[in-house]
Amino acid sequence: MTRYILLAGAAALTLSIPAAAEKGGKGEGKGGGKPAAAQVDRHGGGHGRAAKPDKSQHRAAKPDKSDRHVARADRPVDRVSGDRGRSGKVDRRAHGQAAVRGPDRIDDRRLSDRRRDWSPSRGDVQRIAAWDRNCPPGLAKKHNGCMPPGLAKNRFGVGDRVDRTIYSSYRLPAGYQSLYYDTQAYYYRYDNAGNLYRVDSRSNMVSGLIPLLGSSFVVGQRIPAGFASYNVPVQYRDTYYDSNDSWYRYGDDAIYQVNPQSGTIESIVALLTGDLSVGQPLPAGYDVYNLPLDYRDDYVDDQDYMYRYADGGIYQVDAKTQIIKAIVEMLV
Amino acid sequence: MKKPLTILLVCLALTACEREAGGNEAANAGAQASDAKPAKEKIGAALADSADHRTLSQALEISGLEATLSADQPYTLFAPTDAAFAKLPSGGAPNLLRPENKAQLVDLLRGHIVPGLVTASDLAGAIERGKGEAKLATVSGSTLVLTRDGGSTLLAGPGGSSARVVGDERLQSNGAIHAVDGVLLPK
Repeated sequence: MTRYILLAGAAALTLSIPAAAEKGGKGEGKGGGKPAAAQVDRHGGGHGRAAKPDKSQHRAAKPDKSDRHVARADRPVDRVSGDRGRSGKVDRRAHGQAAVRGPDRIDDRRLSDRRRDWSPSRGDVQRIAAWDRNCPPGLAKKHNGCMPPGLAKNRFGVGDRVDRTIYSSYRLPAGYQSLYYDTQAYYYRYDNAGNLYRVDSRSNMVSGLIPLLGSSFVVGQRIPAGFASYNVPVQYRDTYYDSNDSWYRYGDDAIYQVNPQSGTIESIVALLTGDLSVGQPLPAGYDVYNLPLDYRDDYVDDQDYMYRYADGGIYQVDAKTQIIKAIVEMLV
Repeated sequence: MKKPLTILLVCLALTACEREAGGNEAANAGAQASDAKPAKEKIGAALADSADHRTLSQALEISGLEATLSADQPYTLFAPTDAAFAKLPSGGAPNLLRPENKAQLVDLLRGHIVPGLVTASDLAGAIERGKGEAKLATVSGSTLVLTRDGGSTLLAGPGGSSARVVGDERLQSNGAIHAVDGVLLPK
């Protein structure tokens, strides 16, 4: 019975110090302990604390410690604390709406990470590098992907010699490690700026350069970042649509078949020109009649009109003005 | 029995006349209504069976472009022969086929592919209409300049390289193949 009274007393004490909780921010009266405060929330406010009355009393007896946490709560530590969502709840109560932004933003990032599971953005790659344990704090501050000042200016080319001691810590982004792993003959290094180098183990010379970021679409490699969403031109959508076996992505005037599991480009299924557009003049390079045999009887060049095929469609061109008048047939 | 036969003959004659009228238009466009019958197989499969295009076939497979030429969309391929690849500077072809050079390989091969079906007579007709020269856009964004030299067609690429169309055209179900004796280099 005495024990219960003690527990009740402890709970009452906790409830009676909302001011301390406000000051403490994320601590909610528990003194600002980072993850522990979150545990309190998860288990129903005061219950967790009531189970440990001695700590509550200890905290209450040392208000100066709470004061220390006031200053700590003002720092953006909350945003990188272990339990982001729960610390967000505490902040809402403690600091008002402005303080809520940080945790909400983190929640958004988590959601977006879930969506683009295999295509890290350039920012993600830099963050991965900056969080790497091998990245000195000074370099991490520069936000250049942990690139040493000298190396940032000097990218390697094929045939250049790579000093293993310099590059020993340049690990690949996690998503690429299963595709480019070191072997006896070669090892792979990433310069944190979008370039992957294949280095000959014996000579330490770069024998291959593989651009991971930017507009490089190469079969066998992961599709560049930013192509997570279906973007095939509308006329090809009935032919190339995403399924469990294959995804299709458009870029660099081509449609690529992508493995949904690995994100690697498996083949190039269509090549486009992007040249022809209704209302525009026929560009150079379309002097030659090029319709498929099945359509040649229907669309014959004459004095009034010419017909040219490109990107899945047959275009009608005014023979005199050379202006593209219409798309008269779609073949895909 | 004679009546239907007469009707049939009249119909055939009319069709032939219409064709001729169209053909006159086509004469300036280069024999657009082709009588040629395409093979059933696609460009990709035809190349794989070609004894003169082993390197090209391998290059298409490595680059991933084989799928493009095996799909239904029409393309015309100016196909460098094995001898054409052998003429590249020392180590050229093997270097191109190395996995780390896929991007360059794709760029080079795209410079040999044009959209749609272009027959030999289409090429000749366009050159004739253009008073000895015609331009043909490739799917790499480059433009080939076509001229006639004797009885054959010459292609000039953007990088100063050139090639001559050799042998007969091969019409496939999804386009055409014209063998060429040189590799057109990108800029």
